[in-house]
Amino acid sequence: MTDSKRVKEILIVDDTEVIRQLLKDLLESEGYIVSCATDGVEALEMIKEMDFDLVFCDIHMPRKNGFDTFKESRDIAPGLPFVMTDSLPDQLAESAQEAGAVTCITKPFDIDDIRDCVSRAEQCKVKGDDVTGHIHRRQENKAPRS
Amino acid sequence: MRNFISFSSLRFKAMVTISALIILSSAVLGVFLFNHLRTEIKRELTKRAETTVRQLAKSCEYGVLTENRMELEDVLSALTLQDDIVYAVVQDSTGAILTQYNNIDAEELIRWIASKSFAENFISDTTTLHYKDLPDINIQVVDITFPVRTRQFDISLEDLGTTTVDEESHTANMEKIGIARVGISLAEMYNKIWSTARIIALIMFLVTLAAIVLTTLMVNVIIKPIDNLVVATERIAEGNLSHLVEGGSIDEIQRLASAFNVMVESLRMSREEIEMYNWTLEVKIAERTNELEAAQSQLLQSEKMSAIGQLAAGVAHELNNPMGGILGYAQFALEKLSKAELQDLTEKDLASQKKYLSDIEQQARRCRTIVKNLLKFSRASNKKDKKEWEDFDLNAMLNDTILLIQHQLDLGNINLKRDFADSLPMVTGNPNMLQQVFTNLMLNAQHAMPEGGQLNVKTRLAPSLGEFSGCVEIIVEDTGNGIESEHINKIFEPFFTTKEKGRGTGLGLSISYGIVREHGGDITVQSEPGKGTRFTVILPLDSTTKSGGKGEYNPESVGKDTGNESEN
Repeated sequence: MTDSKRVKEILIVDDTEVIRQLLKDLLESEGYIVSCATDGVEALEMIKEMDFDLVFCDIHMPRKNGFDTFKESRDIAPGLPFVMTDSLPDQLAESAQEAGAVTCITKPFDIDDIRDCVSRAEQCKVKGDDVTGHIHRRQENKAPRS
Repeated sequence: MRNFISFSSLRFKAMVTISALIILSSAVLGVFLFNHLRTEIKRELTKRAETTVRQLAKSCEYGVLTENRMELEDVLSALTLQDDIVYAVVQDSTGAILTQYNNIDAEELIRWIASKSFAENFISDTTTLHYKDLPDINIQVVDITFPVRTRQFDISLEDLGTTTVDEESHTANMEKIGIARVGISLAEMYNKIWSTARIIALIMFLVTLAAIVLTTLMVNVIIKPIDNLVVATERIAEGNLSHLVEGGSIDEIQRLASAFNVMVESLRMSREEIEMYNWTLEVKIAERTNELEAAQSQLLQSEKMSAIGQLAAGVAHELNNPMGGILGYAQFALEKLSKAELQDLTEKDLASQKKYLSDIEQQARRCRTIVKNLLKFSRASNKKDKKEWEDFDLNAMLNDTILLIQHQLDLGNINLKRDFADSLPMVTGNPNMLQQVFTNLMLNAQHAMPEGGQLNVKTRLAPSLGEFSGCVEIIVEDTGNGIESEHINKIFEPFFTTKEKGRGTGLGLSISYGIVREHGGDITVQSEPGKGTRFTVILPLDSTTKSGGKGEYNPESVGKDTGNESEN
C-alpha cells in the first residue's frame, strides 16, 4: 500500500533538456522517483499509464502547451497536482493557476523554490484537498504500485 | 460701342424694327394723305370749271339769243382774268362757233377747236366733262360744257313790261340754244398736287426722322441698363464681385438692377464664406496631417517597442532556460559542497560535482551563443563587408548544412530529399552566412511539420540569357502546415512569428532575407495552407551585380519571382 499522503513519483515536463536534467538531479537526490517528458503529448501518455504524485510542467512547449496539458490531465487524473513553470511571466500560467494548478514558478528558479513546491503539493494531499476542485479522488482508485 | 454695330444685338434689332414701323406708318399715312388731297384738288378744279362754265352759259344766254357777238365777246373777256382758262367757246344750237377765246395762241388749239370733233358735244343737253390731253401743245385740260338755255315762256302781253318773273311758278320750258364750253388747264392743278406731295413728303420725312431719333433715345434709355447688366454679369463671371449696377430711370430696370446688385452681393458673401471655409479647412487639414503624422510616428514607435518587447521576450525565454540550468546547478553544487565534509566526499560525489559544473559551463556557452546570434541579427542589416566572401560550391555547402541538422530532422520524422543540379558553377559569397539562411529555412520547414513530412531541397542553374547573367536557384519546400495568406506578406518582417510567444524570436527569416539580399539575390515564398510551403532563393552568378543591397525587408518583393534588386 503506498502512502497516499506522500509525494513519491514526480513527472517533469519540459522541452529543454537542461531543465529536465536539473530537476531530475535535484529531486532524485531528495529521494523522489522522477520521470521526464519532452512535451505535453508525451506527458499525457505517461500520466495515463503511470501514477504520478506531482507534475512539473513547462508552459511553452511544442505540440501542446502546459496549460492545455494541465486541462486535459484533469480528465485522466483529476487530483494530480501541477506546478507550472515558465521562462517569463505569462497569462497562461495565471490561467492554469486559476484552473487549479498548485502554483507557478519562473526560470531560473532557486532550488529551494522547487522544494517548496513539493511540500505544498504534499500539504494539499495531506489535507485531502482536491487541488482541482473535482469530486473524484484519484487516491482511492489508485492501484498499488511499487 | 461695338454693340451698336452688332447685327444681332438687342439695340440694333429694336432700332431696325421700330424704324421700319415708323417709316411704314409714315409712308402709309403720307400716301393716304396725298391721295386725299389730290382728290380734293381735283374736285376743287372740277367745281370751279363747272361754276365757270355755268356762269358763262348763263351770261351768254342773251348774247346767244340775240346772236350778238359783241355781247358774247364781252362776256368772254371777263374770263381772261383767269389764267388757267385755255379756251372758252360758245356755240349755237347748230354747233357753230359763235365766239371763242384762246388763252394760248397755238395753231393746234385753234385748229382743234375748229375741228369737227370739237363740235360733237353740242348734242348733249347736260354738262359734260372730259379730260383732254392736247399732246401737240403739251397741255392737259378739263373740257367742260354746259348748255346755254333760255326760258321759253309764254308771257302774255299784259305781263310784258313787268320785270319780275317768278321763274319757279311758271313751268319753265328750257330750250337749249347753244353750248358754253370752257377748257381749263390742269397744269396748275398738277402743280398744286405736286407741291402738296412735296410738302407731305417733307413733313413725313421730318416726322419720321424725329420719331426715329426719339425712338433711338428711348431705346437707349432701356437698352443701356441692360447693356450695363450684361457687362456687369460678364465681369462677375470673370470673378469681380464688387461691381454694382445703376438702375437708370425706368422702374422695371431699376428693380432688375437692384435685384441684380443684391444677388451679386450675396454671391460675394457666399464666395467670401467659401474662401473662409477653405482657409479653415486647410488649417484643419494641416492640423490633421500633423496629428496623423504624429500618430503614425507614435504607431511606428510603439510597433518598434512591441517588436523590441517581443524580442526581449524571446531573448528572456531563450536565456532563462540555460540560466535556469546554471543557477540550479550552481546552487545544487554549493549546497552539496557546503553540507559535506571534505573527507566524506565520495568518488560519486566528486563525479556529481564535476557533472554539475560541466552542465553549468555548457549552459553558459549556450547563453553566449544566444547573445551572439542576437548580435548577428543587428549586424546583418548593415554589413557591407565583402572581405569574407569567397567562391564556394553551393551543393557542398548545402550538404554540410543538412549534415548539421540531420539528427534533428530524423527526430522530427522529416524525410529529406535532395535534388541538386550537376556541375553548378561556383557561387561567390559568404558560405557561413548562407548556411545560416538554409539552416533557418530547413528548420522552419521542420517546425511546419510537427508530425513529420517531406522536405525537398533542390538546386538548379538558370543560365545567362542576353544581358541577364544567370543565377542559381535553391528551393526548400515542405509538406507542412503552410502559411496563411494574411501572414505571407509579413513573414520576412523582423520579429514576425506565428509561433507561440517565446518560441522563436521571429528574426530567422528576416536575417535570412538580409543575407540573401546582401549577396545580390532574392528570396521568395509560395504557400498553400494545409499543403505546404516553398521558399526559393536566387543567387546571381555575376559578382559585379552584387552591389550589396541593404538587408532590410521590402514587402513588395514577396511572392514575385522577379529576381530584381530594388534599393530599399
